[in-house]
Amino acid sequence: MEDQLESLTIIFTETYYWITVVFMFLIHVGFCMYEVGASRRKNMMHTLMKNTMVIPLVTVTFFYFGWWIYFGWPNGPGITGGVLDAPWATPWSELMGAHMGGAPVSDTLTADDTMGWARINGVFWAAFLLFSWTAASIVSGAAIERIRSFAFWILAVLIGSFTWIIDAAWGWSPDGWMVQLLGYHDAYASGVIHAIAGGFALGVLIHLGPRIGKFKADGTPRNIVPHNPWLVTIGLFLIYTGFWGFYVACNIPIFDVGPAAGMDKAFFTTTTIYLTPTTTSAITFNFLMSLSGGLLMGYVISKGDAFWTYSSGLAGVIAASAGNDLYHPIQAMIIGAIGVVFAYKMHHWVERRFKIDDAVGAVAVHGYAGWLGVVIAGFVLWGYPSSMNADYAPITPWGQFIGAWIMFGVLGFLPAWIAAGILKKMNLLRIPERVELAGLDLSEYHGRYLDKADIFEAEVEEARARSLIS
Amino acid sequence: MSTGLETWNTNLLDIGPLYPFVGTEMLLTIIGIASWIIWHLIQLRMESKIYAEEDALLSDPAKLKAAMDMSNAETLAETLKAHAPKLGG
Repeated sequence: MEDQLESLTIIFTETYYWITVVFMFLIHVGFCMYEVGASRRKNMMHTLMKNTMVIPLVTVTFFYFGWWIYFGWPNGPGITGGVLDAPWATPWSELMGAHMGGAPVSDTLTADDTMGWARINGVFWAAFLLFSWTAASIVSGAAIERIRSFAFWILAVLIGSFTWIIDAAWGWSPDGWMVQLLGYHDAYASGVIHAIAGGFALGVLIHLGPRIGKFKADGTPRNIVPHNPWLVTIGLFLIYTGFWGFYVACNIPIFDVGPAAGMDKAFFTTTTIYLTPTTTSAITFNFLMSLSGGLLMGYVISKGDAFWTYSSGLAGVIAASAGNDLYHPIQAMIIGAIGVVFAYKMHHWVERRFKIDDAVGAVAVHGYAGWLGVVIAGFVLWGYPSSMNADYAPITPWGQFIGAWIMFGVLGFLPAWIAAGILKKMNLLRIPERVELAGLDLSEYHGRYLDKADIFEAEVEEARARSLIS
Repeated sequence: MSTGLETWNTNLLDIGPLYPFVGTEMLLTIIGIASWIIWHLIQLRMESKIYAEEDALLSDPAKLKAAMDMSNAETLAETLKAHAPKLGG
């Protein structure tokens, strides 16, 4: 790169996304701590490993096919056009590796491809990848203490490297067909990450069934108490922290929107993923206000229950995320609070009515709050442009309503319900009941328990032999 | 002999891929995808074997009850007591 300003812009953008990735790593750390804390002692290590291995499995598959789907499938394919060429995103592309941006080796790439993508591809890929981990990790929490790791990891790849990135291509890219035809707007992923993951978790839970003992004979749910509430709360704090990275990763830090706006000069700004203008200040206001709306309402509605108050902070942000590029902060706060009421009430109604054992409230916090957030944006932002392209549909309640169901139902619930059903038929979905009763760690780590007993017994014998005890 | 880059003392605008063995990307992709699938198959085999063994072991009701007592213990002392009552005093 020869031009200093251009170089600064590109290298700043590269560094910007890299920092978001580091922040977003904390989401996964938080999810692991949260899930382990929420599980019982007998299942801790299994719970930890189940979510930890999401990292390598979703990473490699997102490299192999997820990244290409994002750029290749904005048209459906088959809805507004065919599969698009994305030669920088195929796993065999020279741009999917260390590259200085010089002349392309492959004739499928242009010089323009190589100059920009050589610097941005890896960090942009990683930013999307961390969203993939989050989607899979949301599902992980709902299914703890009884799902087989094999089954979960297949399902994690399905949502992390396939279904969520299809929804991103459709509704979270500048030219996705949902943006073009429905005016779909979901700037910080109420539907694109959260509703889909919540719907996916629900599809899995229907086949998986509740943990043994969760429901009394009359159908009343029992409270399976987290073995370590402190780990749960620290985990949720870390998820809040990582959420900052998630929010800024949804933006493009410096972009010239002047030409798209019809101006005869440049206008540099931060934009959403739709390349529509916003500011980092706007989303900082709204992130904190929607978090606060969620926490305030969560405390009241749960009567001060720590688990639900913390989770409600997340639900508040999730409910407001679809329009947090444009809302007033007090609107964001109110929408966050409304999302919490809906999520909380729905969770308990679904639990009692359908005997769904959602161990961490993931379907509620992510699925119901995310779904409602997309719908609410349709009313509050009614008539706003969804794109810089004036030919695309504007934001409407009906476009958002259809979009919310595509996220939660079509790309979330349905693939999970089918895949989990197949795994169940193959007897690969749930661990054997005796092992569940004994505890997953007893099964996988019982040698360690025996070693503990052995070493204690040996120490007592040694102490006796040395006349240190009688 | 060189597997790729030979010098930095050139026009840097001309440098493209930095990794060695440029041209093997498709082969590397095939190896990567195959290893991912094989990993799942190995893991499935391991997991199924462990669960089959444990399920057989726990088919003895007394052993299952002992394992449940042990795994539901809240502390190490309770774990040891459940596992080895003679040490529990």
